[in-house]
Amino acid sequence: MRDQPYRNYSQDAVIIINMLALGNLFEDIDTASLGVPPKENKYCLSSLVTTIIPAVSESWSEIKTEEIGINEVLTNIEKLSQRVISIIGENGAKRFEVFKQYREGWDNGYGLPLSMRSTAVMESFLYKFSNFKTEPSLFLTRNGNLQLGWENKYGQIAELEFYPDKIEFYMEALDMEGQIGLNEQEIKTIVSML
Amino acid sequence: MKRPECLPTENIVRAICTAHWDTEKQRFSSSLFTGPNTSVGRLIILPLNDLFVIFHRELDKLPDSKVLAAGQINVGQLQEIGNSHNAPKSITIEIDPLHSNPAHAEIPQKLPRSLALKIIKELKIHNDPY
Repeated sequence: MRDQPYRNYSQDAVIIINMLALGNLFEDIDTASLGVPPKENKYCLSSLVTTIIPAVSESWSEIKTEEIGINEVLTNIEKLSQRVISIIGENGAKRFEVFKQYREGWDNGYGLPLSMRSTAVMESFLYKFSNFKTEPSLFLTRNGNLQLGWENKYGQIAELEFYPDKIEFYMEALDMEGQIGLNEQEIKTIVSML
Repeated sequence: MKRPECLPTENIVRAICTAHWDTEKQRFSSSLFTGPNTSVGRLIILPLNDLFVIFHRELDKLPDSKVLAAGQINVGQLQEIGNSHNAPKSITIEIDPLHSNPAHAEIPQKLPRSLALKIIKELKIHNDPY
């Protein structure tokens, strides 16, 4: 599954914010006002838009109104939120701006442009976990995904690569690598191991 | 058709770009070697400075994206790291000369992050001479 690269701003992007997580994070959102979902596990996003946009981030510049699954929000991220910049630092923010310029084939013909969905997945993940022992480094992978890399207090490496529909991880401390889906339970599991 | 392989005695270099290396924090991304089809240059064909010229020509396509360094490793050593990994992995370096780079070769395998990071730890880093 590929989404549009940054250079194509005309396309809306579908992504990944866990609504339960949003509910926990933005307690000022009046979930009662959302009403009964029109179908099982579905909300009409139009009822969320005016509430969520000012609460979440100035970077969520565009939200398409349509009925979506409860685990998804439609958005289009063109820049990182101040909150994420505070986690990855000004150096990470600068690197992000560089990565936005990368074109297809940047890695000896194989690299994909930065994925907007990957950016949004990272944004949403960092609302669930931000307790890094050291300021993480931001990388762009050949798949067009953002990746965070850092060390724990013993100098052991950890990596998270944010795909549009999953997160791949490596934890040297646990000698473990793999992938998780973007559902609440799997996110909680990985956060508990970091 | 299977391509010929580099000998274990050869040394190869991998171009290291902004995306792979956070120079401020001195951290590398495993994506430098996870592949598949990781491009490398063969030092038996071209000297390092000539390879840097090619790396810059091929990879410096954007104002802020550039080749920062090259990571050198011996082919036999690379293969030994793969064989001795906790989940042993056979690594080959296939000769793949290009019109623009006669020293081009590829590592066709997709490598796990843990193995890629082990390889990165063994690289001899050459800073960009230009």
